[in-house]
Amino acid sequence: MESRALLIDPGDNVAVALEDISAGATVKVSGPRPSALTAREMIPFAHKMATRRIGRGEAITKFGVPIGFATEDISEGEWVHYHNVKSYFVARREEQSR
Amino acid sequence: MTRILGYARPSGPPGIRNLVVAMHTVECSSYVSQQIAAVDPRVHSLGFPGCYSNAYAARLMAALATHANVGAVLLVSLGCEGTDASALADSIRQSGRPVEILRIQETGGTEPSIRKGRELVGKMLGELERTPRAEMTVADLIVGTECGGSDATSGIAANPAVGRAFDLLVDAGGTAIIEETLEMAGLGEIAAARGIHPEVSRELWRAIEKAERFSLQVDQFSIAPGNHMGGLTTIEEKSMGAFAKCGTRPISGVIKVAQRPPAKGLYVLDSVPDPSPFLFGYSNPNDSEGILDLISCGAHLVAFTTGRGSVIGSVISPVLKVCGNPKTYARMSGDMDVNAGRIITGEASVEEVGEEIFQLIQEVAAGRETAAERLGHREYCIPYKSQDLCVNA
Repeated sequence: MESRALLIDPGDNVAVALEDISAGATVKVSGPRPSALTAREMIPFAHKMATRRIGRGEAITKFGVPIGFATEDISEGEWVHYHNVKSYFVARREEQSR
Repeated sequence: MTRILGYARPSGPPGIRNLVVAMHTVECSSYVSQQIAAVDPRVHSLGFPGCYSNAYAARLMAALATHANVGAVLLVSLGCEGTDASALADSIRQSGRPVEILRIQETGGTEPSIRKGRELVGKMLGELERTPRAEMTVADLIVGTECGGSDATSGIAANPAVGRAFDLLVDAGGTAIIEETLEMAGLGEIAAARGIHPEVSRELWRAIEKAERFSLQVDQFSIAPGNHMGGLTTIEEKSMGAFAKCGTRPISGVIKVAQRPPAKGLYVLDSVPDPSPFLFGYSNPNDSEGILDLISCGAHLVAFTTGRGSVIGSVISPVLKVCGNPKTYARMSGDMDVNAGRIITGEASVEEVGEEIFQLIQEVAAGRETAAERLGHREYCIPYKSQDLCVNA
């Protein structure tokens, strides 16, 4: 079964699911850098999937800009959301309040 | 280009709707105001609930009462509230619009006030029939944009499509306003780079930094549980998606609530409270408050984008709803004006949907009803707030 995702900017390391993607599905990634990869877990519609391995502390890039950083190592095809991402804005705020 | 036959006003720009406003100056007079407005769909009831006067709210009410889409105003006062109905009436009179004050305590309570109010409003509607028409083009329009119930489709479908329509509007000589500096958190550098000259870039920096400080102070971040469910993870991600609504043209300036853009072009509306001994709470308590802020700056109509789904409209100006999520559109199509979900399904490009929105903006200006107008939506919200006017606008 083939599913669809969209990479918005060529520099991004996450793609947006254009439909609910099941674990194990082959995902056709459209956009400026078309590719195909395997979903490691279920990715709900409009959620993000890593298009490559992202190390702990590394920026998550969408729209070509950093939208947060990985709080753990993320594998290609993994679901990327608040369980493994933290906002730089929130992190700065926590640092300031300490 | 669509022919737009607007309504000439004694002063100020022409409107695209010809309305009477019944405005209550305290919550105590809201029921009477609503009952007066119920006689005719061309009468919109709105007002400020607070009893203690607030300079911001007074300025906002005056701006709304003299909006281009408004031809006449009935102020509905209880009689002992803090807001000065006479001063408000004076500023409306100065604009050349017919205005009357109904004081419920003097008129003898609910029933006599509703009777008297309907009589006054009936006369005003009669006068509005004789409003001279004004030829308008897209260059005469002020269009605002706002988003609500966002999900990840907003950032990739509906918002970039409105951004494209804004580019077309600005290129055609029109005026565009984007709100939500609060949702530009983390985007200071990117937004500042869009300033038309260095002073505008500095204003943008200041406005965004103020918004970030405000967020920290009240612990408000414009990311809701529904946004998380829709796939948005961080405020930066939502900010970038929201920022896409304003297109790609240079930003001509920063304005504040109830301030008209000083010239044509693209403007950023700063609706965040200024530092004050009174901290009244959230900057934009809901979507309707943000829409009304845009209208107070003269927006003839507002393009509202949604992903999770919204049903709201507004008093005074039509709200054109653009839905970026095809599943939401399928469920709630009766509430939507544009299906930007076709970008997600691959049926249309951002450019195509942007052109469709630009065309629809002109048709709505020419009199076509939006879904929210047809359904009778009249949401609004005027909270207490502390805000000074922009020095440079």
